[in-house]
Amino acid sequence: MVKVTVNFYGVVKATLAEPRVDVEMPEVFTVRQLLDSLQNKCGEKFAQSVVDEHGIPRPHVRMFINKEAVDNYDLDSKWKISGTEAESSILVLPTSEGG
Amino acid sequence: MPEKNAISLKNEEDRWIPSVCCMCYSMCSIRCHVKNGVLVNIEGNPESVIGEGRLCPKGISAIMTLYDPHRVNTPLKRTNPEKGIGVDPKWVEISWDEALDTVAKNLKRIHDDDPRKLFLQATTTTAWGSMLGIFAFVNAFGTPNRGSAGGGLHCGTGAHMINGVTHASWSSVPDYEYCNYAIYFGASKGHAAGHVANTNAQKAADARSRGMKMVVVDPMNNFASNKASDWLPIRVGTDGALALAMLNVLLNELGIWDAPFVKKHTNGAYLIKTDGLYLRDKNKAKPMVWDPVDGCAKTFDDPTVKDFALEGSYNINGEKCIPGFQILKDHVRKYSPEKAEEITSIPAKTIRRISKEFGEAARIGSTITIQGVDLPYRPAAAIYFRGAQGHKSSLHTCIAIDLLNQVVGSADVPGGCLGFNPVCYGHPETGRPHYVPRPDHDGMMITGAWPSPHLPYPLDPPKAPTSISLQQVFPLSMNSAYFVSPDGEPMWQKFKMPYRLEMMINMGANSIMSMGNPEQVAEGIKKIPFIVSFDLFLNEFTDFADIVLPDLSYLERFDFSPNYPFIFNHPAGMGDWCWPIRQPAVNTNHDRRYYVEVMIELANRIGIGDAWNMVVNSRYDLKEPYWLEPSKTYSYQEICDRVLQNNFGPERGVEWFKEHGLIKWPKKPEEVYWRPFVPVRVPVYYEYIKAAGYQVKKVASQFGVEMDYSRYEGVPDWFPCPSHEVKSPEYDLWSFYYRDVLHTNSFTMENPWLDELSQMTPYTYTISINTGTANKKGIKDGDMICVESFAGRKIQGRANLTQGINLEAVGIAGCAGHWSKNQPIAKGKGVFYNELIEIDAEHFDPGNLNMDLCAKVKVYKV
Repeated sequence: MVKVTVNFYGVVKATLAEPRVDVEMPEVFTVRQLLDSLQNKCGEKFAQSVVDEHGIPRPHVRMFINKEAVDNYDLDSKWKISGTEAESSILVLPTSEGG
Repeated sequence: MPEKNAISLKNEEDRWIPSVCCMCYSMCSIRCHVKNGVLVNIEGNPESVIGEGRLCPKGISAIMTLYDPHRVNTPLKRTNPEKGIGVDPKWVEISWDEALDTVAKNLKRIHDDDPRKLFLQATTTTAWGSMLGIFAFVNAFGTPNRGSAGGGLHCGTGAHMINGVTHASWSSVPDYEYCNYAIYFGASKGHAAGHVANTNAQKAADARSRGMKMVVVDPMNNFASNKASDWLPIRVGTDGALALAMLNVLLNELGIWDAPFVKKHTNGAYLIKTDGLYLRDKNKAKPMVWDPVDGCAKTFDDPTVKDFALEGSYNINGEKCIPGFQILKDHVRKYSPEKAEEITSIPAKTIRRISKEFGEAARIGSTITIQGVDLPYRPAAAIYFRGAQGHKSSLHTCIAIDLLNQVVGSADVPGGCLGFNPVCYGHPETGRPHYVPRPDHDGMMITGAWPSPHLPYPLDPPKAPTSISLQQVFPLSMNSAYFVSPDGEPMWQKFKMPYRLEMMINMGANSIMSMGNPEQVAEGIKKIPFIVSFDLFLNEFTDFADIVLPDLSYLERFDFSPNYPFIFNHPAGMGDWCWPIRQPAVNTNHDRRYYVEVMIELANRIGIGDAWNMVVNSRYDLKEPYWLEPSKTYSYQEICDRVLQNNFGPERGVEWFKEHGLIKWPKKPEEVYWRPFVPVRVPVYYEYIKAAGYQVKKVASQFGVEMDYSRYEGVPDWFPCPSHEVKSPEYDLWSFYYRDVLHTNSFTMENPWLDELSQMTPYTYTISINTGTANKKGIKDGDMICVESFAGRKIQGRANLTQGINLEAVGIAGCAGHWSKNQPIAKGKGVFYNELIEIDAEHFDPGNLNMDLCAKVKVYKV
């Protein structure tokens, strides 16, 4: 198993009132599995602010795993972690602007 | 590179520095002539495709703004606690240390309490790259409250969001190289200010010389129409009705549509149930279509689909379902040219003529080969912008106009209506920057690049409001005036908003002037207890600030991405990609600082530097070794270096760009004319809007709030503005404002060269009224007249009598009429149109919250 430390930034950090959580994942996992684990760990607030009704990250959500940007529409591709620890980051960028 | 374009290292006292203009958001490439440390001249940079060596009067005049003796040179603190229009703030000079200590203390308090209490406001007259200081701070801080003052509310909420949905771009233009027939609805692209103004001016002129026919729909014979082949002087605020009648003529009278395009590239074949939503399959919830060959319904992406039915009605499991295209076709029947004539004042005969010309010009079925690539050829385009969409019918007007392109198959193909660069495969050496639209679960297009995290599609699901703008219950909006509207507080109470704004940081916007009548704006702004404003000058907005921080001019600072994302102000069509940088032409000799650098310092002082770095990583897709570590602190210069190297390789950082000014590489046909190559669909039936209406209603009903759901429909209608509802014969004219080619928003009014030019034209500082109409009222050219709205608001100015305006219209250039004593050149010059604009819910489009910018008025001699 791999310990994945998930850091929260911006609004999601404020919403969850936590800067980070640790989740246990298999050495090879998908982003969907990671999101499921996070929902189990962080509850409804996480689901509401990060994923839609199909379980896909909302358009303003940015995710990274070990500094690699996650494709929000390719949640089933496999991530293989070498070692026992990994780092993930989740940003929520809700804002509006005009021009 | 020509010697003139290079930085001379031998003689630093006489050099040309490549950079980028910022007198409007076109961001044309320039070169600055500096002698002995003094900027003496600015020209367009012919090395760049952005401007192509041309520069407008605003760009040339920037030298006068740079050296304006009235610029703010040191931080200022307010000593008069009273705030109001005309109230002297009684500024005292303070040090940067004191200023930043005060600002950081307030930011920290709010961040620890509730980050949503912070509002960030920015002018639209800046590069998206320069917006980093706002974007990154907003997201790192964790507030959803941000606005663009009048910029977004007047022009962006309709046009940009719908262009994002339909063209994956901020805006659209005719494909000038190949278009033969262009219809402009309230737009002046290629003829005035705006996105890529100088390049488009040449492209439009070349197209007209080549023979492109150009029909301009505008109440006033203005910048575009006076170079057009046809000017249709439409009644103010009725463009949507004209577009709907044209659709009716095309679909129901002439039977013109591009069936293969509609089947393959739109959702026209998707089956719609009686509730207005897609028929979905039970397993994967995917939208379904009718295959007329096999005689059954299938999912839209089923590889066995042999054909897609666009017309007819089908009973599927006992439920009546109709293809979206058929619904649109039936819906527009009610917009006969005769009915549209009553609404628009454009004769039915003319409507039929231009519809036929447009449909025939599209040459449906024809192809063209460009650089060896075979492509559809549809040389007809319908574009729109501020004039058409700046009304209460904003959302549906934008949809109706763009549907003209979708039904004839001219969207993003040669000769048609092009988004500004929705596809980029990157520099050949690095493959960056790289973005392409992609399909969502329903096969509908998600734009590949967008300046904001709030995408035009898919919408954020409606939910209980968390932002002062109430965007969560107006998901189609991009901006909102609720934060200053008298209707804001009642709405916040109804939706049980648990907080109110306590602080604003403003970056260069003058919302007291740019949003609407200043009395209403001022009341809203006054309620925000602490306001910090970065600006070059003191003005009507800074009169409400508590601290003013002196910003750098764009001629004194470095910006790494003035023209990226390319969907905003980079030329469309074939040619080159171009990424220029902005760099200082001169060093400031005052105590001014670039606001982005100040925001970085503030972020680090209050402990959100880690989030700031992550936002930059995300926004610029930074990869190792250029990734910003959240735990480290980076200077602005380091961030610039990393973004540039990330895109263009380790040898092309800040120093390389300072020397070369820009990098170019050729576009590919698959990038420019991308629609045949990218498997996405766009709506001809706006199911997502219909669905959003149900969701908004559900949320609003939880709070017992009644809302107007008329805009949440799958097909567009024309809705009257409040001005069209005024029946009093005394108020017989419609007022509107237009963007003057000599000015950008309100800030260029203080420039002495532009002031001199403005006084030489009969338009910029006057009120234009039809000669015949004026004669009936006893008004002569040059008379001082009053324009009084039905709401009782008044403005005054000199009459400019012209035949070139609709008989019922009064046209005024915005946004003149400064009253601040700190704007001595602009003060009292021209007419302040926005006084007539109401900032209340009755004047907001209930779908996208775009403000209605016209008024029913009476005009009389003073």
